[in-house]
Amino acid sequence: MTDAELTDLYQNRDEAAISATAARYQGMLMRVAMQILNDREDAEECVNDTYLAAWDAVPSAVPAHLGAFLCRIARKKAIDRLRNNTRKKRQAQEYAVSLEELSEVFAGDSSPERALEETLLTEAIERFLAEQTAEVRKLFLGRYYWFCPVREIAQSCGISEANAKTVLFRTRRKLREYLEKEGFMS
Amino acid sequence: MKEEQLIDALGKIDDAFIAESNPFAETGPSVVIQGEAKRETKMSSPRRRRNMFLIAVCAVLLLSSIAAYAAGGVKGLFRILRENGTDGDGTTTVEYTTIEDVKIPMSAFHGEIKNAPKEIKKQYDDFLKLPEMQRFASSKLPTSLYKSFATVDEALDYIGYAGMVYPNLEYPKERIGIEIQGYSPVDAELSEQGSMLSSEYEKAKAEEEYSLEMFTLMVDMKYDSASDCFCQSWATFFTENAGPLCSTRIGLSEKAKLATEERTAGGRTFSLLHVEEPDSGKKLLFTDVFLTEDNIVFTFHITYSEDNRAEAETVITQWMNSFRAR
Repeated sequence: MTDAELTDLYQNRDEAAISATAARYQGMLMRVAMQILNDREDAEECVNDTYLAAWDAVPSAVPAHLGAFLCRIARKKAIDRLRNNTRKKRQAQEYAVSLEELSEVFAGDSSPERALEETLLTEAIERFLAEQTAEVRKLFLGRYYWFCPVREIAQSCGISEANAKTVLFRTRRKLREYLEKEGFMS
Repeated sequence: MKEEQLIDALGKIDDAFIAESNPFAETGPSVVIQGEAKRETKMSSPRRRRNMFLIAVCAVLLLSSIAAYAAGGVKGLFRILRENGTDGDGTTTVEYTTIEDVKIPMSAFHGEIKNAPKEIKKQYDDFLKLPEMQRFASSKLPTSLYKSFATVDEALDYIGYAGMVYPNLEYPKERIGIEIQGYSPVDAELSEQGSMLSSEYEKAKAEEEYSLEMFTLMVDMKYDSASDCFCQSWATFFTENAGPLCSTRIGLSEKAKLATEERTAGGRTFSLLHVEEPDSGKKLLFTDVFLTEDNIVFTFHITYSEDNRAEAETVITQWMNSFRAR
């Protein structure tokens, strides 16, 4: 079944939409959730929540890329669950390390009180990403959107892990400079 | 925390960026960013293996002949099914199927796994209480159960199968668990999900008793901390409720290169499957090793790169030589 046919099922409120979505995307969504949560049960519940959220959202917001749309929901649900989770479990290592790396973007910022408007920040990041090459985008988003290990992303781009780390370092630094120029840092 | 704000802001970027960079996508749409036409790279990574029952076989190519049933002889065979796609998105499925009947009666298991059918029954009863849409959206059937363990010995005690051998590979264990598949005659008969919502089906399910179909003890290990290469050791038990043929299935892309061989170690003969999956100009390499003994299907899965192929070979040999009686 194509994405267009799947989207039609949602718009027609056909309950087969969810089982059809699961048949096509479950594996992918489980990987998205597992990268963040590193817990099978939590990841399965997160994926369940994703299907329900998609069912609620699609009639009013028809996605151009259904897979990306579902991944976005799954990622947010997984991050929210990770943050709210008070049970004793091991935090996904890659999420924690990614967070630590991104803190460099804000290191030394002298205005911790500044409230970043999320929408403006998102738009600024989109403009920044659009100026990068496809390979840089793939590396940067592979690390900080998808929380993949550096080695995996490097392999998918056909470069060494050391090169990937260098590119990520330079991109984080460029992002910092860009956000400073756009007025987000002070 | 500001970096959290950045993570959240990244979460709202345009779908085109997400689709372009998705490392988990199996097929991809074309995405255009800033005038640059970019076809999303298809990730031909091996799909996660699932133990399945062979229900129907069509267009089968036998890879190896059936060996004698003599002690130490090969007790399984490989079958390959290739389905060509229209845009390079076809599949290759490799099945390892046991030749002899390896089903084990439930009475042979003396551990707590005897109580798993009751747990599955309760799980299913709780599932029926969920709102209809949530049942539909459930990503797993309520008739399967996953149990985690701190050590392999705990897991084997949970099963309680006397007199078995088990491979004892001494690498750090990342995850130890048993995946249990429940069995009910109603499931076998009404397998379409739509019918799971019919009141007749629900009534039948609520009244029936459960048993176990099969279960697999899965141990994930990392053998090379520098390279992130990993290995998995599985032991699959098929009960008397299993189907006519007991097999393990591996899903690959249509371009996967395969090679099989037999090796002897520690007085046992193993069947090996070597796989090379092309992936964006690089190669994904892995080997699966199979052994059927004590009516258990043992499988060893190891991933490696060209750089540590020799080390992977060492680990394979270690696994083959590590079988000990419990």
